[in-house]
Amino acid sequence: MAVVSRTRPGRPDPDLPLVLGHQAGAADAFTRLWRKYEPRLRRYFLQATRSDADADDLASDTFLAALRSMPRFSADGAGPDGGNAALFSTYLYAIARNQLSLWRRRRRRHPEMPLSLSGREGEDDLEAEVRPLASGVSDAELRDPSELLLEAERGDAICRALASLDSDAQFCAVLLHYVAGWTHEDVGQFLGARKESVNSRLQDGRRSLRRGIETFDPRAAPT
Amino acid sequence: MHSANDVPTVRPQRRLHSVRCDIPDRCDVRFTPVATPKTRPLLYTALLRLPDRIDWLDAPVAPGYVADLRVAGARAVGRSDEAAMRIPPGLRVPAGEAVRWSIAPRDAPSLRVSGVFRLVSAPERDRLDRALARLEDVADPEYRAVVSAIVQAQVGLYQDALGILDNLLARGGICGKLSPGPVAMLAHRAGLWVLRSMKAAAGADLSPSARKWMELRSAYHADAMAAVRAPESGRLGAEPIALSRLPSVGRSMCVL
Repeated sequence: MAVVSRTRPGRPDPDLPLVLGHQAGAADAFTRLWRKYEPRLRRYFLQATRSDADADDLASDTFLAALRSMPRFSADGAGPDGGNAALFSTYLYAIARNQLSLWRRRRRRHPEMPLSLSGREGEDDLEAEVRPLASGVSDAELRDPSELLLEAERGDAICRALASLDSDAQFCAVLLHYVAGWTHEDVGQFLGARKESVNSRLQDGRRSLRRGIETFDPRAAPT
Repeated sequence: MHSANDVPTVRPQRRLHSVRCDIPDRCDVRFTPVATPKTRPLLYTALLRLPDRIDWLDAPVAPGYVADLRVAGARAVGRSDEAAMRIPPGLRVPAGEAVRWSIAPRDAPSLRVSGVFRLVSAPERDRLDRALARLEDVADPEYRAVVSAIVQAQVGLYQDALGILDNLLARGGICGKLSPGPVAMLAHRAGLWVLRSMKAAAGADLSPSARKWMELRSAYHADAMAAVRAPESGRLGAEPIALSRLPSVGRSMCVL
């Protein structure tokens, strides 16, 4: 099993005690890992497949594969500072990515399978185009799984940051521009506001959003 | 600080012609009509079409009601034994014109409740349709719902906007990409925006009962947002608490 390693000097893998516990035979260690990662994996798969059923299946398959291969997972990649180079989350998402690749291959062989939740083709492309800020994990297969994990959490952080915009004018303009993908002119026309006013709201909103996202950024927070 | 039971709640619509509107006992908003198939009280809002009839909470000891509708110089007064009034077919309601209603128990005129609704004008309808069509490009259903609520409120469809947000909150996370907590925060934030927009647009048209309802509902959104944001269940994980704190269904206000 290929493991995508990700070095985080000075930060030990928070899952390592559970991994070692499972390897030592602790009954609930794997269950706790499952509880922690199942919702995230499900979100990851749902985003990639647009199908509840497929997301459920893929999450289950990923955990089954992880369970089978767990004895082979080791902390041998430990860095000189004691940090674990190969995080369990990275390892799990590498399995997830493999499962997703297999699913995509199967799907290509069976094109009669539904393409997306909404049945509209090209939605992935639209998402990346229309929501530059809140586009989340649309390009799932091409990116590092551990990055995707962080991005899923970042998606939540963006959502919270949007909700935390104090100014009503900013809130409305930011939603229409960054979430709905409207141009400054469209936003101004719809809200009956001048272009300069929209620009100013968006500029201020962007600053507030950035602050909000940094506040909630999981990379900045202790694990 | 009020409890969750103090706030007006609306049960999500289940079938097109069988809907309920629930308002807790201690809310002062009574005899407040709602329009089929909408579930929202018509305290101050625009509607896409004129309802056939309006219904309101049946006061337990009221012998009957007097309902009064005024629009564009015309007036319709109805006396009814039941908590409903059919809008007279001859009552002309031009789009954009305010329909001012008031309802009181026959034997207690001092308990009169009043409000305003109107039909969206053709330019507003056009603006709305064009905006909603553009939202189909928003891939994420949660974001799409929130922006759709904003767009509806922007043309005065405040109750429809709140309905969208209520449905989103009732469903929790529907797509799976976003966690329920952040989605709830965003929906509550949008709810606050809708209510503030409603208040600003209503100005002097806001009746005391509508003001009270708005205050309660705003407090509900603010409290719920604070609950989701609360650090008590972890930096990113207040979701179960937030959803469980959504107001419980009060007593049935009306069945259409």
